[in-house]
Amino acid sequence: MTPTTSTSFASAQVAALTSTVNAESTYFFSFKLTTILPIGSYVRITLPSAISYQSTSGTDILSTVSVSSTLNTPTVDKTGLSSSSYFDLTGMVTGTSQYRTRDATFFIQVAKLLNPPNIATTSSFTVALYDSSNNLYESTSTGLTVTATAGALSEGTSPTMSATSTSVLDSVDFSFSLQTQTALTTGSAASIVVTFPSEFTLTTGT
Amino acid sequence: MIALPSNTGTTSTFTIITQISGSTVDSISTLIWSSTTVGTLGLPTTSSDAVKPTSSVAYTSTTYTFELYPPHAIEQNAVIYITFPSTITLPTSTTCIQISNIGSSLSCSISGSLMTISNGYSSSSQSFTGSEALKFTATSITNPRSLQPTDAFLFEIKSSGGNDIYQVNNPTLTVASAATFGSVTITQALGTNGVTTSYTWAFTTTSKLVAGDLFKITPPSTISISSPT
Repeated sequence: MTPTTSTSFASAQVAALTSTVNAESTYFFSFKLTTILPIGSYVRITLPSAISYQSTSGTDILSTVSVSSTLNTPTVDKTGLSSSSYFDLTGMVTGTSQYRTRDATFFIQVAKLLNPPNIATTSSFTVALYDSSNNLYESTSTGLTVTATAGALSEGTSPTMSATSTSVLDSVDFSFSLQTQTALTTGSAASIVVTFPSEFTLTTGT
Repeated sequence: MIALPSNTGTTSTFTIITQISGSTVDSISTLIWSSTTVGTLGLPTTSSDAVKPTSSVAYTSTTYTFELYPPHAIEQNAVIYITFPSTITLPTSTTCIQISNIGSSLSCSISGSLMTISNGYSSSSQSFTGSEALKFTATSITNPRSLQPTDAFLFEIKSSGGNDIYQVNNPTLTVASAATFGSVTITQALGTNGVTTSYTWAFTTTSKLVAGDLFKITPPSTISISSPT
């Protein structure tokens, strides 16, 4: 009989070392499996769409790996990163040994990921265990989201703010000179929102 | 349209964010605006109408009417200050009456040459378009004692927190006519025609005299003064 529902991980967490929007960051993943790993099994970590891999980097994205001592140190297969935003951890269980370790724990550190472009909470990472025939053993995405923090707008060329008149209650055109930390994409998805202090009166019109 | 703050005080902070798809990318929330400058109070077409005494006789205690044209609104609880030129004498207390575009509960107090008009806008702000007169009167102000134009009056409107709103430092006042002696009595020592004699004048002035003032006596044509002693 074929089971119809895969098992969930015992636990899984993700965190970014640097939280600023659009910054390149190292991500930490820790997860604990509930099933036993069969020979040739692999773990696939799928990134949310808002996070991408800095493929121009030369170093391996897996800079540190810690797994349960009964497993081989995995190697990373990042061929899926360019097209489908996932990478695989392979080679944990090899040779003639058959199944290894219930409750296997993983702690991996993935460098060169690009944080989300804004502070909206991402959709979920997915961590999944497959056997060598690509059958899903268990997976989870619960709680595997990250939320970036806003970058800094800084004051640009002086004066940062100027108006066409300065006299009390005059109607003016207002100018700002600000420097963004994060590049804005072109097109209608990008916008700038200015909230004036209550001392100003804004009315509709130009 | 963006209207600047209603006084020259420093504002609270702006919040400026960049967004992609409606979510914040970068933000700043430390900017404040401290560059608002005091506005200019408008004056009547005839600028001397800004300050009009009811009596235009020198050194008369009279009611003054003030007429100004704020360019924009006056915020709630704003206070008007009038600094009088030194040649005008203020009473220790006065009564102010509203005429237009100031609340009826206004009250005036005096300290030295400064008149403070409070409670004119205690209930709400007052809008002005630049052609509406802010007008009120104050009693018991003593005109200059001479026909020489005064120095300028300084009008200031400030927020309750003391920040400038509007000001003007232009109008002067020139009274139209001199005060009249209360009484003048002339006595001649000898009444015989054609003889030289001495005359005695007794004056009662209605104005105050200060060091350096001169009396100028012009005799009628039938009396000649050769060398008075």
